[in-house]
Amino acid sequence: MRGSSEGPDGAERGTDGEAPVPPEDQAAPAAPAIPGDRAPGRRRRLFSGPRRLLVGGLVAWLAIAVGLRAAVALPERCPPVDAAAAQRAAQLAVGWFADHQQADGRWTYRYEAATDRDLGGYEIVRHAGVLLALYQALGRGLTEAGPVADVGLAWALGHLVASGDGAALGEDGATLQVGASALLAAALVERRRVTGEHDHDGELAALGRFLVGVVEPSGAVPQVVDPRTGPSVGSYSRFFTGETFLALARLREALGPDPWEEPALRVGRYLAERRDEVEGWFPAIADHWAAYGLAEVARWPDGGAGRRAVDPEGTAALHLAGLFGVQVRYESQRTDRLPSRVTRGRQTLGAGLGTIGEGLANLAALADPSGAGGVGHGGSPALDGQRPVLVERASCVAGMLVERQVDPAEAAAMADPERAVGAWYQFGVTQMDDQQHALSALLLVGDLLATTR
Amino acid sequence: MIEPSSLADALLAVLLAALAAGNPPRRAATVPATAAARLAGAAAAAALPLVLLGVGAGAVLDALAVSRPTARVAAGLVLMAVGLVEVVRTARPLPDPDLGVLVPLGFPLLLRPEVALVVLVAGADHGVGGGIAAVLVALAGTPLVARARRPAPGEAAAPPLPAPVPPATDPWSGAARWLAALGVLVGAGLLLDGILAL
Repeated sequence: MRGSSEGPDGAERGTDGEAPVPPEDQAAPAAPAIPGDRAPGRRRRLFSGPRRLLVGGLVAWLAIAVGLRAAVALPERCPPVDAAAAQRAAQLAVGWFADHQQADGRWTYRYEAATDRDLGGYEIVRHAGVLLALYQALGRGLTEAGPVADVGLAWALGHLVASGDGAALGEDGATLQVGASALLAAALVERRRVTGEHDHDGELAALGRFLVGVVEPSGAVPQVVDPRTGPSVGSYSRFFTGETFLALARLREALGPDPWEEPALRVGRYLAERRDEVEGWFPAIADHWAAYGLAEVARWPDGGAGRRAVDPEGTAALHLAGLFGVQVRYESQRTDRLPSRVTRGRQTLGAGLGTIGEGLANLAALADPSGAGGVGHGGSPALDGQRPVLVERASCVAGMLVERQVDPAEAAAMADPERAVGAWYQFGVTQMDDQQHALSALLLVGDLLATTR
Repeated sequence: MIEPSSLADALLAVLLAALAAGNPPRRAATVPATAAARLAGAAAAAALPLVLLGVGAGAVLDALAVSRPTARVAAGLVLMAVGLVEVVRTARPLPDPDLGVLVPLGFPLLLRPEVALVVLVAGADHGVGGGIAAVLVALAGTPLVARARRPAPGEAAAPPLPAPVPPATDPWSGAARWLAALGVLVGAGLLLDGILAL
């Protein structure tokens, strides 16, 4: 044993004079210490106590702020716009129709700007819709729209077929789309208002009789009429019911109550009270044609009786306004760039954006107690006080439309700049209803901007 | 009847949201050994930026280019999420009686994202008064609950609670869960309101 020496009793001793500890009683050697380690047996925590609370709070704030900004509260971009800018954009859209009208009065249906190619196809419903938009433009000082609309109208009037005790817009022997007749009737009333000419009242009444003949007792409107089997059963279009409501409401205003008022109110009540539920539309349809119809009924010279019969408390109008409102806010967050592209998708078509503007502009007119929007005393009570926000939302739509329209500078890079300018494109392709709805929206919102100060 | 599309128009509903977001029993349970006076100081400190937020809510939303309905959607979503977590999870208490008034009591215990969002909505929809009221409702309860949790003079002090207390033995825990559930409900209402609004 190291350091040991013999003690007085002869036993070996350690150098300190103590008796040596037997090996079996010696403690096990201690484990080497780990730097920073606490007492053995306790797990080390990265954060504890107040530090845990602080770090957790910071992480929560950061995660919520970033998450909300990226996925919920994205900036809502509403480019500023005034009545003059809206009018200029509308003029460019009218120019597109002028440049794309064919010899027979129809228009290029789908057009690819990069190759200056007519992609073919045609929808007779949209032909009638374009007529409405062009006569709306004529009524707001865009005189170049008149001749273009009249040529298109001649084509439509040449495609009226007898149906029931009236006439419908369509091809002889083919299935008749009810919406086409409804929008043609609406366009004829618009023409009547802006030109003062009554030369097509006969065709207008015939179209009206066709529509009255297909409206169901409930107020529902079938999608098509087959010349052999009659109106479709259980098949409804998203928008033909609203279009028929508008047409009948306009017929009542133009030609008097009989026989248009009762079916107009029936369709209107159906739209206001139960269409979405009965026909199984989910989510509910943001029906700009219904908004048109409500505003039209409110213009009847009946002290608001018609409007009260269709939507007594204005809840249907308010519901529509909410649907359009969320669509505008959502669309205004779309930039076609990250992160909006991931969380909000691609910017919508010109037609989609235009319909929102049309709906909001008509509802803003309903919310105007002064009647400056053309609506008399038939304003909607539920929209009382909502006009400023409706105008704000509608202006946002107009601003986005103006920004997204291809202007002369952008069109210069296209294969045929004159044919490309004035349209709204997606994937380089435009369709005539893009220009139709965008044009109508710009005109109607332009009215609001001109009267709102 | 308060309809979903008009929930935020009712100041009462927004104040209930503020109460749920503040959840005084849960905050007090997180710091059971902290004196009420200390929590009152923390509440005052947290109130300052929140009052500024409530007063300037409109300007804040304009700067962020966010509409009032979208702000409601954001507040409703966060309130629902936080409420769900607080219904399920029990608070982990910090037994230290000397926690900092500013940090961590003022921030982040009392100055919380869900409180800030509700104050923002209250200020935007109901003006300065609404914003300030929301701040008061969200923050004033925590020191009051802390005072109510402490024993009356003369009674033996309760031993420190190092571990989560089972609900059966702590009545304030039940209240915290009820308020969290209220947060989920009111949050859902705000969310719907924001979606359906103009």
